[in-house]
Amino acid sequence: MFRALTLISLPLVIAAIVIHAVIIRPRRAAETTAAPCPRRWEIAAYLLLLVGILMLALTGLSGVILHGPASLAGWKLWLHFASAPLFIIMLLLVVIAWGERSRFDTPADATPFSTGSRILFWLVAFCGFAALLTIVLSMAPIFSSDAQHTLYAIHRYAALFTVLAVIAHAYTLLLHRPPARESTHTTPAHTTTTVTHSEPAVR
Amino acid sequence: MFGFRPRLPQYSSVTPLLLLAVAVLAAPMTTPAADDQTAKPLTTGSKSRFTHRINLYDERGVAINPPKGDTKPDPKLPPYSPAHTCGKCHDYKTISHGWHFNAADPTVPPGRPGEPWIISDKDTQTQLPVSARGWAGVFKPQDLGISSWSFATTFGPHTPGGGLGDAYIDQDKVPDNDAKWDVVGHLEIDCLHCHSANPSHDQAEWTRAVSLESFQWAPTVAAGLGHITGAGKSLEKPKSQDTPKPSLPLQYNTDRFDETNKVFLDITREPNPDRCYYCHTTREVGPGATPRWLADQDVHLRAGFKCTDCHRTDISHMDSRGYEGDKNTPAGLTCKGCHLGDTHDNTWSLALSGGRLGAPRPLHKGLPPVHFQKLTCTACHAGPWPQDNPKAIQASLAHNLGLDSRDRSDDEYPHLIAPVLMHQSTDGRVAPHRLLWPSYWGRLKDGKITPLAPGEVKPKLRAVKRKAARSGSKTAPRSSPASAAPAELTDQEIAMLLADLTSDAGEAVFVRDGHVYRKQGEDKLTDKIDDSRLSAYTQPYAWPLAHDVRPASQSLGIRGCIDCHLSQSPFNAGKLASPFDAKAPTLPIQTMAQLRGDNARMAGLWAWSYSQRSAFKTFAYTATIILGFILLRYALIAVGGVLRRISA
Repeated sequence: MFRALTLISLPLVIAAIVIHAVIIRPRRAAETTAAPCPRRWEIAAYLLLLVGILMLALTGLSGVILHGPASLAGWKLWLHFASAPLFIIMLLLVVIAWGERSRFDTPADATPFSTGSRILFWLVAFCGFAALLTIVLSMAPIFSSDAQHTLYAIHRYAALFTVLAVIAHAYTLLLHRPPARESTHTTPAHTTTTVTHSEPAVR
Repeated sequence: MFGFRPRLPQYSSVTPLLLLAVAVLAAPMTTPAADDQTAKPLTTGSKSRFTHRINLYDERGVAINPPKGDTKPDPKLPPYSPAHTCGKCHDYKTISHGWHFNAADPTVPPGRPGEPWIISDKDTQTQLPVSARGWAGVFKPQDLGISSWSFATTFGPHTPGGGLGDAYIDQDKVPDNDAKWDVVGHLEIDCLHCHSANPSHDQAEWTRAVSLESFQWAPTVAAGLGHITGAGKSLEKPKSQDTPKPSLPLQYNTDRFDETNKVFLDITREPNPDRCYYCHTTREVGPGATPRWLADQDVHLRAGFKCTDCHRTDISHMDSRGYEGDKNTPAGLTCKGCHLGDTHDNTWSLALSGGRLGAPRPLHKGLPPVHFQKLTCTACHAGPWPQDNPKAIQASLAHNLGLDSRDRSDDEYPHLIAPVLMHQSTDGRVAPHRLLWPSYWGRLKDGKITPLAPGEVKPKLRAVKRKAARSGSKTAPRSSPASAAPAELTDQEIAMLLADLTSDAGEAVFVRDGHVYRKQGEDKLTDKIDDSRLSAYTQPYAWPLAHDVRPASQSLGIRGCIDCHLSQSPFNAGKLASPFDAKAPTLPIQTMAQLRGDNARMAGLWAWSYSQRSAFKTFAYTATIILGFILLRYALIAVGGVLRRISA
């Protein structure tokens, strides 16, 4: 079932993005925001998060897609583990950096993120956390083999939803880029200061 | 009390006498059930043991009634025949095609490689694996010119009989003129070899009798029912049909026979492990060997199990070998089946639900499940603990364990080692094996090497040594007769011997320690033979081991991942040479990792990563906790907001 879900959902999300980008074009001129754009280090952290997720997805899902359900092993497993620290650190940084501005009670002009973007952000955060937690728990000598099978099953699905959510989230960030601004200083949340941006918040 | 009294048949006073007369006349002449293929088996249907107070029958099916009183050994007295005695009630023909007897049956799937017979000779440094089952890496007796007779006399002593000595006697491609089946009889299965519950049944006596070619007398003397004078070896085939067939004088122990000439045989359906140990003992020898008094027994036997609790069978005697995938092992009787259950399609059944016979269900806490796909249960739980150098092993079949001797030495041929963690041929999972590096003289022709029997090589070897001594050439020191250490051969001697052995049948070669040596020049050897077909002859022969099982607290991994996941762990760097093998440094494959074909770089990466594992776990736990608290905070904020909206 997991393989089928992977084979269906990944192309589906990508196809939806392509259709939206090509047919349903957002009207950027109508969308202006006075919200501060993300800082460079936040953008860098997000990009590194994407790299980490990409590495984990390639090593973790390629076997499932190509060969069906089979445990990760060999060099793929090693690369999967090697990519994990990057994912963990960057997820933590991104959540710290964007958590406040992704709250649903934050006014629209106080955050560069649209509602859809915020929903997807929390999906990435919580599914990513679930994927991380299940693996961390499996590394402790606490759970039996049967329980580990359950943990790995949760990990697989959480990882898949993380991948799907981050693809969509990245697209929404591209879609709802704030206009260029002159300064990069941030303003506290819940304010509606109008600031002119000199460069796009997200490249 | 219940007002019921069983009705007894009402007979006249004459009827009992008539019945008795019929019984007396009919019993000794009754045709054994073994000869009647349509007879149903005689059973009680009870779980209690049947008391075998029975008549004994000879090979003609005639009851044995030994004379009582002071008698002398009589060559006319026949020994008892298990086929005609046990066969009266038990289907001997079916039994004779059971697993312990059917190695020569080409229709029986050989299954997983098992322990072979080994032709060994210290003088010629021969250790050649032989099996009629045809596992990859062994030679079939027929392909070596070993007849059924030769097989029975060579290896029959450490068998329970049958096989090529009985039911499969006609496997010979070429009749053996030395065969004396008509004189000494077939090597029938001695059922008591396994099923005797009487410790006075002497399996070693069977071995001695069979080694002296006293085939048909072996069951009688092993059971202590009588003794013989002389040996089958001394009997010669009659020169003509008119000459009476010679026999061995036999004197029965008449104390064993009651007034009706019946004998009590203490028989058990499930043999005591001691019976199995006679043929299935292994022991550590040499440097690093665990002394016997310090070695722990298999945990299952300690718990009161018998071998047959796992290795079960019905009358077919197709014993369960116990590994996953064995056609004769029900899924519920493998390690996994008993301990974990083996329900493939999620259909529950009691037999496959695990916990059989009280088997504890292992939790394997913290062990990633990928290990169960890559390793067998025995990899972590069975055999000697893996060490940098493997243990030298001796086995019953290879080293005649079970026979009392003052001449045993640790470095006897053949040299076996264990444990060797390598991929098993059935499913590719890593399992512990016993391993043998074949060593033999042979002739190479058309990419095929045909081994030579030690008997053919020895005379030429003696001639070479005499020639070398006369010429004043440097010869290797002779091994003393008392020492079982192989006589060392110099390259020159080997080259000279190869020259003498070469014939029209092919170029003589010497296979040893993973190399095929041929003569180069007058006194040199080379192992550079450009023929890829010969790689099959350079491989070691190995067979999985499953005993002795260690308890969970002594399993591999009990000290953590580093038991295996280190570059220098025995799992990776464990050597493959016997401690008694002087040629160890020349082995083409030196370590277990090389034998498995593991990628050295990958193994090194894993080893490095496991050295960082503790730090990684600390980092991961910390990050998870921090992230968890942050997300919890946001989640509570969100819940609070929702509740506020609801209440508003």
